[in-house]
Amino acid sequence: MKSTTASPKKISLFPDFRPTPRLVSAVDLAGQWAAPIMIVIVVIAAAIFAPAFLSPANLKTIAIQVAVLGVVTIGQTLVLLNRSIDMSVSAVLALGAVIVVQTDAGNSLVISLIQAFAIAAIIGLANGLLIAKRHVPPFIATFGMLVFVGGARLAYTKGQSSGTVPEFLRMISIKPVGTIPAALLVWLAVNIIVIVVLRYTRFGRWVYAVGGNPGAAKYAGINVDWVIITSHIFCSIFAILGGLLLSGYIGYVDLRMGSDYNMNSIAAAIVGGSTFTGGRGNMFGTAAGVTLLIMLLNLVVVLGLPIHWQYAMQGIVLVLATALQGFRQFLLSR
Amino acid sequence: MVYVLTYFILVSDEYWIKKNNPVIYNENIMTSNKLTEVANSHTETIISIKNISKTFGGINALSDVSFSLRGGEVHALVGENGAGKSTLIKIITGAYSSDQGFININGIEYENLHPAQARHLGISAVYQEFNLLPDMSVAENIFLTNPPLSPLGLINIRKRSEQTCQLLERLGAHNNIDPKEFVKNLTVGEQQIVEIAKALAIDAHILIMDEPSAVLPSRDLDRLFDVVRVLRDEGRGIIYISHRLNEIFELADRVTVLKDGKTMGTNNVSETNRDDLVRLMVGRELTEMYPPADNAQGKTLVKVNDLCIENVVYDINFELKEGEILGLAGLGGCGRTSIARALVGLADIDCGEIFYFGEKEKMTPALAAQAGIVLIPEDRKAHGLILDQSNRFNVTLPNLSRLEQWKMIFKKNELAPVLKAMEELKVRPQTPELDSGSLSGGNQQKIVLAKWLMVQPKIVVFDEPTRGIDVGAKAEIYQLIRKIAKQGVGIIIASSELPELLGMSDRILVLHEGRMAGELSRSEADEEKIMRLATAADSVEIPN
Amino acid sequence: MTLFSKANTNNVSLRSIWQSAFIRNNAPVLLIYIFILFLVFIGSIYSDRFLTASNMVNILRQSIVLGLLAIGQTAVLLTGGMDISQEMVARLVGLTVATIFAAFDSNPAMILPLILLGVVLGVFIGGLNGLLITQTHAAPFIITFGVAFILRGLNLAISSTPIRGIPSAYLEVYSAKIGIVPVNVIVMGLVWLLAWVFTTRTLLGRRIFAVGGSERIAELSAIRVKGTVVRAYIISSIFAALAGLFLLARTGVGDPSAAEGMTFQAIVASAIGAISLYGGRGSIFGTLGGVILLTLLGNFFNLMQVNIYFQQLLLGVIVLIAVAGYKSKRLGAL
Repeated sequence: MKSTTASPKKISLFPDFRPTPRLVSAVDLAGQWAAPIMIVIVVIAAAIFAPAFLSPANLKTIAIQVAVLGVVTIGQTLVLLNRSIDMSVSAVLALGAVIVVQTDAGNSLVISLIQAFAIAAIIGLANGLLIAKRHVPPFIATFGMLVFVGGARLAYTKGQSSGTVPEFLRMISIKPVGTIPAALLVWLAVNIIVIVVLRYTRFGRWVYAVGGNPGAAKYAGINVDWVIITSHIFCSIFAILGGLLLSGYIGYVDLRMGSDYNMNSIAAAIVGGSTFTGGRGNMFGTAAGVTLLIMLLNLVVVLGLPIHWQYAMQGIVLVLATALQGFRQFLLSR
Repeated sequence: MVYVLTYFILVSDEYWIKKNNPVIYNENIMTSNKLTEVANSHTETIISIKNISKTFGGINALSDVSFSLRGGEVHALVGENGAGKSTLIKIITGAYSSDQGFININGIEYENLHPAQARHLGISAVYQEFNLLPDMSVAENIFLTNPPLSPLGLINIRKRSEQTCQLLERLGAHNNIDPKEFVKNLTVGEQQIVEIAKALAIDAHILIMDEPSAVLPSRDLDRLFDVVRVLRDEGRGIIYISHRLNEIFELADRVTVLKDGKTMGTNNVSETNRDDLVRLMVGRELTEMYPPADNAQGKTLVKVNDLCIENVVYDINFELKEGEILGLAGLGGCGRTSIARALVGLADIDCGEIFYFGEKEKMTPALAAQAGIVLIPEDRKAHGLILDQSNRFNVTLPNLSRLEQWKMIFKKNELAPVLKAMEELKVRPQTPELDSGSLSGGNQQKIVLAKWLMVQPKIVVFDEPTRGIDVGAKAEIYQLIRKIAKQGVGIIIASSELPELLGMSDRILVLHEGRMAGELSRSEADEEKIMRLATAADSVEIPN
Repeated sequence: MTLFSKANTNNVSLRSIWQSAFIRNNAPVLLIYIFILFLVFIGSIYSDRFLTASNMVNILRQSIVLGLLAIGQTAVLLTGGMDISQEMVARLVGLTVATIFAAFDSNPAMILPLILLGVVLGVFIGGLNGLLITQTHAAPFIITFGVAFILRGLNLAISSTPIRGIPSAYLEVYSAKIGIVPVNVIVMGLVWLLAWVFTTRTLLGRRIFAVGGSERIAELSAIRVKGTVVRAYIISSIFAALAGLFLLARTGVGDPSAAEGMTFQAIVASAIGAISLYGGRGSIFGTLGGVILLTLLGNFFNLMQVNIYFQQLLLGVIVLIAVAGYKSKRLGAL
């Protein structure tokens, strides 16, 4: 009787690749700490190769950009933690600027602000409902919202960028408190609030539970739908806040403003250690991710490289971050 | 012209198609010489398993199992849950490798099989979860790997439909199933036929059917049996796994009993009876794992009236008292888990009511947690724990409102209760910050228990409390259950482990196919009686 | 052996079985075509210029770019992924080819080799996308988006202004006509036909469906999942390249802003056409319907002189409705 042993046909590239626990935790740590480490490297490299990077004026620019993107990314991170995503942030951001700018047409500032936040909340609610109740894939639902809100904005403004930005907004954005632009303080404040919520409140726990394992969260008595909807509402609110800060910074309303913020907020969050599958990530990482991204983009400008390097840089960062996260996910699931 | 070139470029897709042709099977699907050979000799063994053993992390799933299958026979495989049936099947189909032993197929001996190899040798399995693509047609699903091709290399749809019809005709379903129909539009019974047809398409001689009748409504059972007989008469060997003894006596030629990973005997069906089989399936010594019962019982906590869940359970009636441990027994698909979930509001109830503490309520998981009605789920990884998060996170999750200080949760407030719980339950390692996913099965289950016990429940429903847990942890969990019962908590244990039920329950309700088959008190219950009720061995089944 | 007691109608005719299954399984697509006819009807009432042959033919020609992109996108959507790099690929191919043309003094002999080059570029980038996605197990839309950003930078590096220097023979691609029917419309029709054959009759086409339906089952059926996915992305990029080549002929210059926003339009066209975004479901007819519908709508809006900004709004509404309506049976995360 012949005795044969089967030889497994190679179906995948690494069929017998069994990651050692050390490898897994190493990659995991790398995913979490990549951003801060990179920041340090970038700062050092900048100090050596492009001292202009560290000039006060440049740092101020960086700070404000970090603040704006940071606020938006906080919302995006919140949503990513819930195993969801928000592709409509850029439109909401632009919408915010548009609404408030109309204040010079006679509405009081407070009313405009309330309008802006109310609309943001409604958009977030709609997103959340589509995703949680109708089970529309988050990417698609929020992308539809992006097109819709973008169209609404265009229709509302009839294609014209007009209006001046109220003084209040300029104040909370650009005006320095000491040497620090106010926007940065706003960002820090929001950061602290959200960090506290995520770490110390019931809602924060629920977010991590829903993102980590929605089934178990449901069994534990958590109202999963409500958590997702609320996260989307906050994401939209933060997006519109970012829009307010941005318009304060720029000083006028531009038709194309904010279009980069979609992918940049996602990239920054991913670089900062959040994942698409939810339940992992924190605001410190996000803050680091935002800072790193802005620094890289700024570095490109300071080094005098042509603008297309900026795009390339954004793309490379995104791909690398995603690849690393994807790989990390893959290892963790083995 | 430029166009021709563009056109040509597109056609170059064809190039990939040629490159991609796997051609695994070279025999023509429809006829087989081997088949007629085997059909002529019904005693020829086509596969035999010799001395197979398999261990999973210290637990012996299979020990020295030997088994043979002849051509043209239906060989039933019976045993309780956990007896090793699915492990054996997975080894035969190549999904697992055995640690020891050989598989002998048509005269050639193999140490281990690879899935593709197993298919090539004609081994095919039909499971309860069908491997069908719902958005593709019947014909496509059947011929997914090796459709008939036209001379151009394109799929020949007409021929494929014809061949599908031929296959279905042999199975007798020719007039009911349209080869072009999408699988998702078929009934479960029809889908099963398609799954079986897949096996025919690769001309499988060794067909394994894992509880095929479990997913079928009773009116489709006859059709299933006819199909099985057709396949048998064609000379194929069929391994038929079922816990419904009536079926076995109606359909099978031989039967092998597995218990705790060992073969207990192979008999011709004509030479045995239900009692013998039941005796072989169970009958083991009860070890001294179960603490003695001495809990007094108080008032009624839960009363279930005429509960039914469509297609799952019907006419369920029972009560649970304080301090009582009620066991729910029954074999796969009998509805235990559904009842458990319904009690905490995770499953919708179609008729009947459940009274909690005397009041009728529509229960939801959130309400249940608040009211102290708690479920320890069957699948702790999917429903019991957030594996990425720490033990502390998991344990405090339903208890957050209790731990709040100024509406916030501080670690210092959490640590004490968590540590205390972990110590009481003897969780090892006793580190609150460790990710729950890195704990062993037994310890994970303890975390789930810690979580729900901290709620200070009045009713605890356990669904498979000790599945996949080592002996030491099991004993600890049993102690714990006794302890809380003594404190007046009402407990329901739904389990497929008979010793567990016998050792712990004050009363045992046995379910069969979604209905209550009987109730046994602690003193009168034994394994055989439970098994007989669970397999309806004493009743004559009338398909309606 | 009779298994069924009910009287069997002998030989239920093959045709009637075919008909009923066809209608049942294709209902959403048929709805689209009905909607298209509806629009045509309204349009013809509204203006006599609408129903003319030349207008119809014009619409068909307008639909070619979107059609090419949508076919490629469909291939990828069917695997459950998404290719956001399409417009950048189209642009890249257009710019590269235009640059080389200019470098060779618009030599007509270069036409064929350059077309081939364009396609090869598509293969290369598609392969890159596919490999990145399959090897890193990361989310397709992020990876392709990152690649898109990188390509955007690359495009700008090649040129930020339109490149002239296309041989006039090449422009024939766009303008050549037989009678009043442009040749490219006819070729496109053939392309659609080929696409249909591919998705329904070829092994690779069906494997793409299988992989999208369930990777697990595909793997069990001895389908090389990774290879199939890579091929799907290659197809997508090839079609993007073709779209780029076509645009080059249409505009006559290498345009650094070509195909702006068309990737998402292609996705929308496919989604409207009942290609499930989870993969594994849908037909080319649906995509065709979606493409024609979108093109028709655009034409329609211009006819009715709808404010261009409202157009985007309406598009967003349509997307949201279409998406919320096709409630997928598979519930899941991102």
